[in-house]
Amino acid sequence: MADIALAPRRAKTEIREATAWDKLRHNKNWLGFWFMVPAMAFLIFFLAYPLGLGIWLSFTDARIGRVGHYIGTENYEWLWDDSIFWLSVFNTLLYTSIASAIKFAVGLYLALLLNERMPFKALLRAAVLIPFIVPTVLSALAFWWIFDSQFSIISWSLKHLGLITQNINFLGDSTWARICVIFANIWRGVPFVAITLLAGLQTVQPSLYEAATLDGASRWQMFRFITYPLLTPIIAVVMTFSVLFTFTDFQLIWAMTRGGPVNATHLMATLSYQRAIIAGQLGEGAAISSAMIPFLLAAIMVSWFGLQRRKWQQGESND
Amino acid sequence: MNDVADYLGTKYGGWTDAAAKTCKLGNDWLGIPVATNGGYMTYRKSATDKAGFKEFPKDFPGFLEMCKALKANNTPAGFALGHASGDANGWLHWLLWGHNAWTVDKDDKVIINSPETMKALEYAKALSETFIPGVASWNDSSNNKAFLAGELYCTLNGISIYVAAKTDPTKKELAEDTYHALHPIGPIGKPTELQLAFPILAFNFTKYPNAAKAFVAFMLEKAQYDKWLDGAQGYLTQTLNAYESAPVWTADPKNAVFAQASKRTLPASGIGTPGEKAATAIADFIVVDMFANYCTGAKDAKAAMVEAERQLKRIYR
Repeated sequence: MADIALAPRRAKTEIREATAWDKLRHNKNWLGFWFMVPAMAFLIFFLAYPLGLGIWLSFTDARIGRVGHYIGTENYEWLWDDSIFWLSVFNTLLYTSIASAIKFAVGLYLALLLNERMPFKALLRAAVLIPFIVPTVLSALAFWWIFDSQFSIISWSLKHLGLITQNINFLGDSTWARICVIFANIWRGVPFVAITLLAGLQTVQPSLYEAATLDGASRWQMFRFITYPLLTPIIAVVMTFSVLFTFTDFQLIWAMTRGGPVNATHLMATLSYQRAIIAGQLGEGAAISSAMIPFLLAAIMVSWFGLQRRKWQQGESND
Repeated sequence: MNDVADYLGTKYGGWTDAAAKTCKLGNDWLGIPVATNGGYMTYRKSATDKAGFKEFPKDFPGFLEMCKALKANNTPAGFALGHASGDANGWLHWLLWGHNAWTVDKDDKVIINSPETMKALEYAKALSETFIPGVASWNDSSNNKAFLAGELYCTLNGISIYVAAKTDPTKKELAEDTYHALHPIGPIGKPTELQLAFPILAFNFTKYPNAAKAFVAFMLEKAQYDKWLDGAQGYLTQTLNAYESAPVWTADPKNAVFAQASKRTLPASGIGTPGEKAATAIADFIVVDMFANYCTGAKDAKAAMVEAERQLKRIYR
């Protein structure tokens, strides 16, 4: 043992110059980059690549089973003069604006209601989510039956009550059909808005309301000057998502009307599918879906800049 | 596939015209037409009898009169005007072609914008006014359901309505009252039905091309094919003339009409060239939307025709 103890300590290895590799190895950003790679690869392969491919396809005359050739903006020029395309743009905007506005109003109302103290609160909150949980196609099929031209339960009930003599032509009349699909979309979308806004409402501190009560604020003033300003960031996020989901809706329409009657409920997404997949004109279909991008970007921008603005978030004079 | 087609064609009395046109490119067979999916007039005899038509009308004016009478008796007819891939395309192409109006001529030049199309549109409009309400929203299953529920008394469909009624013990009466008839023939003076042919294909890259061919030939031999048709209960029709005597067509006299589906149909392209372009035009509901636009009053006849012409010209460029 002694010799070990006596053996001279190995001289400390000399400190060598840090190589570029060493620097890199200890660089936090470099490490961070590698941690990000999986997520990035995922996003690139499953989001950026399909999006890019879709835009590229819209400049070609690709058909199913056949590579397309670059044809410039021919698809867009064709769509510019296509009355069905513009009808679908109109339908999409109508569908999105009406459905989103009503979804917001009803959702906010429900959220405020559910935020109150009441019996069976937990149960009620869970029940509100049901339309959101049911697979869209299932609920769409149910609505399709409810609005069927021959077997509609609504027509049947009204007929038996003696209020009407003939079935209401729910999905065969363009105005009725639009009302029906918008109604179905609202039914499906309200829970998402309601529950998210409810989450927002719960973050508002009760002390603010107490203070307001002491100052003698009315219920409306409390909502207008406390709840609403504090809720705006959430509203912006929720409505952005709601608008995006509604704008790109496909399943409801496809299951209920296939875009009919006479294209009165064709949305851009369903028209794109019909042209691209069913009729095989991939290029044209891609052009229709690419035409949705500016609208969607606009919707995102509105909420993005809305979120950035503190004034909007925190009330009038706070910049 | 040429050898298979020649072998079967010689042995079984030749291929039907439409089936051969659908599967051939030039002189070569790309696939073997294995069957045609027939759809025919399906009607309730009690209703047409009451309307004063002991026999199902054989021409367009008679058919219109019958539909008017059916409506007057509150036993309406109904044909899909929605995006029903099979039903709507089927009856509207029949109607269009019956008036000697075509999407494209034999050189694939678009000729939809014609006085004949105008006549077809006017006829369809008059006809659609006799329909049960809601046809504009119909898909392929709507007329089946309405017919089986006893609300619809005449429509165009595959044999499925009758088969469903026959196999449902509670619908015995309805099944007995259900009859089938050939499409009435238009001013053109010959059948202009649209019944789709189903080809069977073998991949170019298959390792065993001869096995694939042998299987196709085997499947269409009498021993197998009779049974196969039987299993399809009349839903599928032979494309080889010799099978007209297949047992399925005589087992139930009401099946007999469907035996002619492959013989009476035109290819899906009408008088034009069958192929991708014709398929695209059908899949994009161009003819259906043209009729629906006019019949529902969304557009006038001229505008509906011009829109269809514009879309067709793009497909057939």
